[in-house]
Amino acid sequence: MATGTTTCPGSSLLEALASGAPVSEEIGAHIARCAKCAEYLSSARFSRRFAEVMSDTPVTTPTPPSEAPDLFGYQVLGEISRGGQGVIYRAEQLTTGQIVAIKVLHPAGGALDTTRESRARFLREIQIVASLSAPGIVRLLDSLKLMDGREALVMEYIDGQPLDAWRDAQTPPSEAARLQLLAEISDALHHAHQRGVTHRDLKPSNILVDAQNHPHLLDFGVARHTGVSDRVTLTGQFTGTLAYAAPEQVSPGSGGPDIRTDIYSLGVIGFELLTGRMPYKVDGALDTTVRNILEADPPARTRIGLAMDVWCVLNKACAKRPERRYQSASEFARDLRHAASGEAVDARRDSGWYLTRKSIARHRFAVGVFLALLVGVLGVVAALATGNRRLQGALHESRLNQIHAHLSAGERERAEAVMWTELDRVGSTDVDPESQLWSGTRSERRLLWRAMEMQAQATCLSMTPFRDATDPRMTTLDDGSFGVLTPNGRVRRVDPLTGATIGESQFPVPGRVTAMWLSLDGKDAIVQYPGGVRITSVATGATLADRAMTDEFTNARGFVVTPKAIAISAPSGRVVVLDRHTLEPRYESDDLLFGEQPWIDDDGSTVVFLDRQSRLRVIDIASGADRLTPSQPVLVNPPVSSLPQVVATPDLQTVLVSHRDGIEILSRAGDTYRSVRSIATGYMTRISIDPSGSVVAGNAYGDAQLRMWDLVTGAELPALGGHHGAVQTVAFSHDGSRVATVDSQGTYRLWGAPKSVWKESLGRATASAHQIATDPRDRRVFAIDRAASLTVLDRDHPSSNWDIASPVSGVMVATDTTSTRLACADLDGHITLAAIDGRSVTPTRVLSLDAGQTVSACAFAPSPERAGVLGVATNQGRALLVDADTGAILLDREVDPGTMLSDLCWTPDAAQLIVSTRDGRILFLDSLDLKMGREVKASTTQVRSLAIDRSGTTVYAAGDAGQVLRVNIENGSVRRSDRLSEHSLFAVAVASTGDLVYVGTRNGLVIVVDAHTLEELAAFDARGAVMDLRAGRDAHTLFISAVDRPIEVWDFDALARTLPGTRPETP
Amino acid sequence: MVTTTLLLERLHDSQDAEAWRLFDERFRGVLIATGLRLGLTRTDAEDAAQETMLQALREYQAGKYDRARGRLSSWIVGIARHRIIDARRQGARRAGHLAALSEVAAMNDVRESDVADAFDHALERHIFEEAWRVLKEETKGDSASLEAFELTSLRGVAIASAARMTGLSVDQVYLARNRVSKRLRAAVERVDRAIRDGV
Repeated sequence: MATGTTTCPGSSLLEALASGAPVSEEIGAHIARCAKCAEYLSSARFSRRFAEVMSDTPVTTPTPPSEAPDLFGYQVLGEISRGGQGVIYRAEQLTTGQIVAIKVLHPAGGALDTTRESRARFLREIQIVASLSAPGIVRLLDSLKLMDGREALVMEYIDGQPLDAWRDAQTPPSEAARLQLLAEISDALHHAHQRGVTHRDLKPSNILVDAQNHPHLLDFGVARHTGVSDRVTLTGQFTGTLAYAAPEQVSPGSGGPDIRTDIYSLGVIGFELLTGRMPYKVDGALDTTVRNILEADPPARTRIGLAMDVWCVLNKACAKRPERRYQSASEFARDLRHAASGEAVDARRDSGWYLTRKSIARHRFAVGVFLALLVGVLGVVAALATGNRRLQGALHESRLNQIHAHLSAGERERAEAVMWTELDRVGSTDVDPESQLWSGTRSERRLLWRAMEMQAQATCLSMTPFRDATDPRMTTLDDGSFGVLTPNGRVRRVDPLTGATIGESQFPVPGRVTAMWLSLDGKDAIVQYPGGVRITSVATGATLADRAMTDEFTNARGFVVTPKAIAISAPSGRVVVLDRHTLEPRYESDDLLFGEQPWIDDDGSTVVFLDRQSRLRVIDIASGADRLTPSQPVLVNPPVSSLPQVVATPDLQTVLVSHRDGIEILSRAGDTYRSVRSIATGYMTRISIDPSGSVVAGNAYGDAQLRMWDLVTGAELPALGGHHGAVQTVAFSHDGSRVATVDSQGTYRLWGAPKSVWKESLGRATASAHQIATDPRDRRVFAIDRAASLTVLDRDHPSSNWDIASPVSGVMVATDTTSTRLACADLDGHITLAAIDGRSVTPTRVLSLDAGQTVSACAFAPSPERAGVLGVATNQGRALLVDADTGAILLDREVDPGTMLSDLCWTPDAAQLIVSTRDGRILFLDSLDLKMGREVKASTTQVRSLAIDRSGTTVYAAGDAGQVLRVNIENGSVRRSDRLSEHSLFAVAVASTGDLVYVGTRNGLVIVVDAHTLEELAAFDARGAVMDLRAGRDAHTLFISAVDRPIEVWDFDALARTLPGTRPETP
Repeated sequence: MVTTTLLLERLHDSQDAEAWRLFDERFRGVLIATGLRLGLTRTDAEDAAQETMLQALREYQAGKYDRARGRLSSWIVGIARHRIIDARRQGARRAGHLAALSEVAAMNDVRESDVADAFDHALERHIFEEAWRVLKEETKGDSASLEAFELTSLRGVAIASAARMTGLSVDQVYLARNRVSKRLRAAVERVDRAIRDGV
C-alpha cells in the first residue's frame, strides 16, 4: 500500500484533481492524511460545482422590455440618459429594493480595456471615489464588470434635474439661492479635494439639483478612465466639455490640473448660472475656444449686471493663473455665502474701506448714534474713549470679524495681532486661557475661543518670498534653524519660530545641479551634477571632496544626506552609499525597486529599502547583511511607476513606504516588519516624518497643499493649503511645533503644526451612526462600524477587541448608567437588548416593533429607581418603556399619532421623558404613564436632537432651523439663538459644567455655543456630517460621531493649554 | 438576508409586509425558473409561481405548515408541484391542435419528481447567486481575490491570464481561489439554511 509522499502536491495539481484528473495512489494516500490538501481539494471541487451551477439557466424575474444589459443582482427599470461615457439606467437592487442609478461605461478607446494596470488603477480610483461621503456628492455604491467586459458603476439615485434645467425653471431661483447652491457645490468639492480626489470634468450636466434645491455632484474621478482626455486632441468643433475647462487643462506644458482646476470650472459654471452667459465665447472653432480659455477676460461687470461682490468672487475663481484663484474650495464657498448674505468677501479684502463699510452695515444702529465709529484697521481708539457700551460692543464685534477674516485669508499673525489688541483693550493683559476661557468676561471668552479656532487649524504664521529661490531644498539643521538651498548655490538660514532669514551665503556650483542637500550642520553643500557628486564648503566655497559617478546616477531618484553618509539611488534601482565627508563608497546594491528612494540612518550604518520582491530590507552597511528578517511583500506586484520612497523613524520602529497609490505604514514586529495601516491617497506623495515620529507630511507633485496624517491613528490632519505654487520642500522644527514649506514660486511659509494634542481618534470609521453611547468613566464608546454592526472602542485597550457574542446590527446604541445593559436599534424596527459583562457583550433578546414602526431614538432611564428601563421613541408617534432585562414592554402609548418623534431624553430623576417631534415641538411626558404634560412649540421646522443639563432644569434642542433652543423645563419658556448654520443641526450636547452647548451640523462642523447667551463662540471641523455628540464626564471633553470618520474625543481643556498666555514678542 | 428573528415566526403576521416581501423574493424567481425548466412558457411559469405564492400565503396563515414535518422549501415545492403540472397540462391542451402528438404526450408526462428536481436546481442556483452577492458585499476590501475567483471560476479564464489581469502571481491566484471558495461555501451554507428553513 502506498504510504503517500510527505510533500504536498502543488495547487495546480489539486485543481486538476478537482476537475476529475486521475489521482495516483501516492497522492491519494497523501491527501487522505493531509488535512490541508484535503481541504484545498474540497474547496476546489466546490468551486467547480459553483461554476457549473452558475453557468446554468439563471433564476430571472420578468425581463424588462428595454435592451438594457443584464446586470447581476439588479433589475433595470429604464434608461435615464446617454452620454459620451456610457448609458445610465435606473435600476432596482433585487435584494433590498433600493432604487439606484447604474452607469454602464463604454469601453475605453473602443476596445475592452482589461489590462491589469488600467483595471487595477480604475478599481483603486473607484475605491477612493466610493469613500467620498458628503451631502453634495452622489455616492458611488459599487462597481461591476459585465460579462462582456464593460464596466458599470452603481450610484445613488437622485431624483433631480441638471443644473441648467434648474436655472431655466419656470420660476427662476433668486440670486441668493444660486449663490447658496454654488456654495454647496463648493463644499462638496472641498470634501473630495481633502481626500485627494479632483473632479476635472465639472459642468452643469454633472450637477443634479433635487427638489429641495440641493446640488449633487456626479462623475467624480471617472473622466480619466473613460477615454475622455483632459487635453485638446481633436480638431474641429469643440466637444462641449471644453467650455468649462481651465487654462491648464487646455495648455500643453502647463503645470497640469489640480484642485484649483475644479474651482475654475465651478467659477465658470457660477458665471453662467448667475448671468445666463459664458464668461467668454466657447461655441466657435476649437482653436478660438482654446485661445479664449487661455486669454479672454470676462465682460465688464456693468455690462452683465452683477453686484460688485459677486463679480469679484467669480472673477477670483476664474482667474487664468491658478495661484490667483481661491486656493481651496472651502474658501470659495465661504466667499459665495458672504456674497449672498452681504458680508465682506475675501475677494475684496485688500480694501480697508470695503471692510469698514461692511461692518458698518452690520452695526447700523451703533453707527447711527456716533458716525465717527469705524471698524477694522482704522483708528477707532478715540471713539472708545467715550466709554459708550454700544460703541464698545460694535467695536468688539468688528474685531471678532476681523480675526475671522484674517484667519480665512490664512493670515494668522494678523489675526493674533488683532486678538491681542482687543484683549489689551478689554483689560486682559496677562491672560490665563485655561481659566478665562470658561470664567472670563464675555469679551475675553469670545476672543479666546477665536484663539482656540486658530490653534485648531494649521494656519500660516508667516510668509516670506525668497528671491531666486526656484527648486529649493530645505533641511532642519542641527541648531534648529531651517537651511534652504537652491541650485544657484544660495544658502539661506531661517529662524524656525519667526520665519526670518538669519543668514545667507553663496557658494560656486559645478554647472547644472541635478540634486543637492545641506549637511545638517549647515556647513557643507552636497551637490550632484552630471557625472559626479561634490561636497563644497558653504562658507569658503572650497571643494572638500568630489567623486565621479556613472551616467546611471545622473537623474538620481533618491538623494539622502545624513551626518555620516549619503545615499544616492538611480532610476534603475541601484543605490550607492557614500561616506559623507570623503565620498568613498561604503555600500552598493542593485536590488531596489525601479526609481526607489531608500532611507539611511543618522549613523550611516543602516540602509532601509524595498527589494525587487517588494520586501522591506534593513541592511547593515558595513557588512551588507540583513539586520532583520525581510518582511512580506509590501507592494503587490509593484508596477514600474510605483517609484516608492522609504522613510523611517530614527528608532526604526516605524517605516513608511510612499508609493503611487498611498502610504503603507509598517511597524517593527519582532525581527521583521508588518504592515499596520494603509493611507490611500490615489497618488504618489513625497513624505517626511516629524521629529516625534507621530505626524507624516506628504505632497504630490504639483500639489499646492501639504497633507498631514497622524501616524498613530492614520487620521488625516488639517492640510496646509494656500500655497501659490506647488509645494517643493518641507521641514519640521525640532520640537515639532512648526512646519516650513517652500513652494515653486519660491515663497517660504511657516506654519503652526497641527499636532492633535487635543483630539483622540478611536477605532475605524463609522457608518451613519445615529447615536453612540459611552460608559460612565468615558473610557469606552459603543458605536456602529462600517458593517453596520455594534463595536466597542476601548480607550484603555485600543488594540484588543471586545467579545461580542453574535453580531449586533443597528444604527443607534444606548447604554445604561451602570454600563451593564445595552440596546441597539436598527432601521427595521428591531431593538437588540444585550448584557455587558466585563469586556463582553451578549445579546439576550430582540424586540420587534409593530409593522411599519422604526426606532427614532432610545435611552435608558438615568436614575437607579428606574434601572434597566429603556425609553423608545418611534417614527409613528409612539413612546414605549421597555424592561431591558426581560424584554417586556412596560408601556406603549401613542403620544402623537402619525407624527415622527425624532429624539428623546430623560430628566435626571427619570420623572419625565422628553421627546421632540418632526414638526418642531417638544413634549414632556410623565414617565409613569407616558401621558403628556407640557407641550412646547420650539420651532417651525424639525427638531432633531435634544440634550438636558445635569441639573435637569434646562433642555437644549437643535434642528433644521440651524438654531439652538433653550427650554426651561419648569415653565416651558424658550429662547432661541441666532441662526448658527445654514445647514441642519443634527446633534446637540451640553457640557457637564453646563456652561457650553455643542452642536453638530450637517456640513461637518461642531459649533461651541455659550449656554447662557446662546452665542456662537467657535466652530471646529469634524470632517463629516455630525450625527451624534456626547459630552464627556470631564468638564470640556466631547465625543463626536461623524459620518465615515473614526469616533473622536476632543479635549477643549487640552487645546486651551496650547494657547499663549501673553502677547508674543514681535521679532 | 439573515435576520435575528425567524422569518417563519414573522410570516404568521399577515401585516408584516416586510416578512412576506422577503418570502416572495426568495421563492418567486425560483418557482418561475422551475416552470421554465419544465417547458412552461414564461407567462404560464409566472402564473404558476403566482398561484403557488398565494396558496402558500393562505395555507401558512391557516397553520398548515408544520416545521417539524419538513423544511419550508420542501413545503413550497409541494404546493408548486401541482400548480406546475396543471400548467403543463393546460399548455399541452392549448398546443394540442398545433403540435405533434408525441410532443403533446411529452408535455403531459411530467412526474412529481421532475418538478422537485427542477425546483432544487433552480433553488440551488438562487442560493449560489445570493451567496455570491453576499460574499461580494462582505469582502469589498479584497477585490483582487474576488476578481481572480470570478475570472477563473465563472468565466473560464486561464490561471496565468487571470494572474496578469489582476496583478497577482499565479500562486496568489490559486490561493485567492481557495480562500474565496471557502468563504463562498460558508456563505452558501448560511444562505441555504436561511432560505430552506425560513430563518
